[in-house]
Amino acid sequence: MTSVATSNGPVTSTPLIATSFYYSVQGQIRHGEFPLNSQLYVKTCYHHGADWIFCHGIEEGLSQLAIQKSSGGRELVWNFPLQSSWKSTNPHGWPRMIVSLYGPDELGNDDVAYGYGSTVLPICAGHYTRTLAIYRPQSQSLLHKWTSWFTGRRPELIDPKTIALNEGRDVLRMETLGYVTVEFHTTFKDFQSLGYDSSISGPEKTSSTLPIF
Amino acid sequence: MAELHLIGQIIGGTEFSEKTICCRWQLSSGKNWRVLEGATEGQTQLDTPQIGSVSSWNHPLDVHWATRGLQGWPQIHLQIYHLDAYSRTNLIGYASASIPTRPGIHYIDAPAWRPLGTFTEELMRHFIGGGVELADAERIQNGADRSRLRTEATGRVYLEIGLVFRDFKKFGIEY
Repeated sequence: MTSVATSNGPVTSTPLIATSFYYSVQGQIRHGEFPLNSQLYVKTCYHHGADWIFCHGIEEGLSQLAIQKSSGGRELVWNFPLQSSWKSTNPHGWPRMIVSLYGPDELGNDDVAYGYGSTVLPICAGHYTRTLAIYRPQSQSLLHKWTSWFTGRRPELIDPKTIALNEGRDVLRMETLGYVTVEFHTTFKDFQSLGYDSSISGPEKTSSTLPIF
Repeated sequence: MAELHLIGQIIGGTEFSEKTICCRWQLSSGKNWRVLEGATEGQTQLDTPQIGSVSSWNHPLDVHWATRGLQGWPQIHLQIYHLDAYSRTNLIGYASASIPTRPGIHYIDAPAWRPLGTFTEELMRHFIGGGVELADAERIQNGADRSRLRTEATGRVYLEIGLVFRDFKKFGIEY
């Protein structure tokens, strides 16, 4: 409590105590590698817990259609900006970004569902690169595989946010088709003053990403 | 009470003899720990990689514990299964890992193994499938009954474990 002398007598006020923290993410979806396909666009959305509120930014994004370099490079470059700011009282339900990929196929059908992937937004402040595996539901039978190839209606998820959930994943049969690289830059406000600590302090080297993919 | 948040994912499995695999997982913790929010067990999707060698499960982990003591720090236990062409599920590995004790984002690779049976059992496994499994997987998780097993290395599972600590320093815990 601090006391301030005013012309009406001393006024006491309690210091401001944070009750929620803010989390802000900038970044981009850099590029993807899909040996079996050469034209795709990305849709992004977020899944978060009930204690989180999306404040600013693009909640559902749609990128351009990226095509491989004509001289034979394998990358599909989107360079798609990501921006989101969040307010929360609880780290549980930390936001996850879900990407869905669509594109035309060789038979000329547009907007064929190509795959899904997700990543949790980094829980530490700093610069992070993530590689997301992109997978899609498998056809259940050979006949289904053929008809979906002809009609361009591949198996797709009714709600892409399913892949950010724990329940109901065990019935999914997927196949991984490629990878997408995403970059994040994160900052916080009042996270530490609420007692939370998510950063590795000290001179020890922080854990590095495994060369997984 | 201090609080711990585990926010991450089970990335996938690799180097198993089979590619169409999924995983059941459980997070266990001691008596001092109480789960406030989040699921502590589940089963991932089944994935067959058409590119690369990692079967991606991309399974979200988000658990919130409150704790009164350091004993019984959480661990994750995994059982990896293969779905074969005849839609049978075969166990191809067990793996366990301790959750790290520092906040931040950690990448863990948990090596998996499977118990070996007798010569006849292995021969049957080769032709028919199946193979021996542990009757009670929990008994081997704390290391006490392991000496009775003969095991073979199978593949590995990659995990991304992000940890947020709350009020640990207030109780004098150093990390």
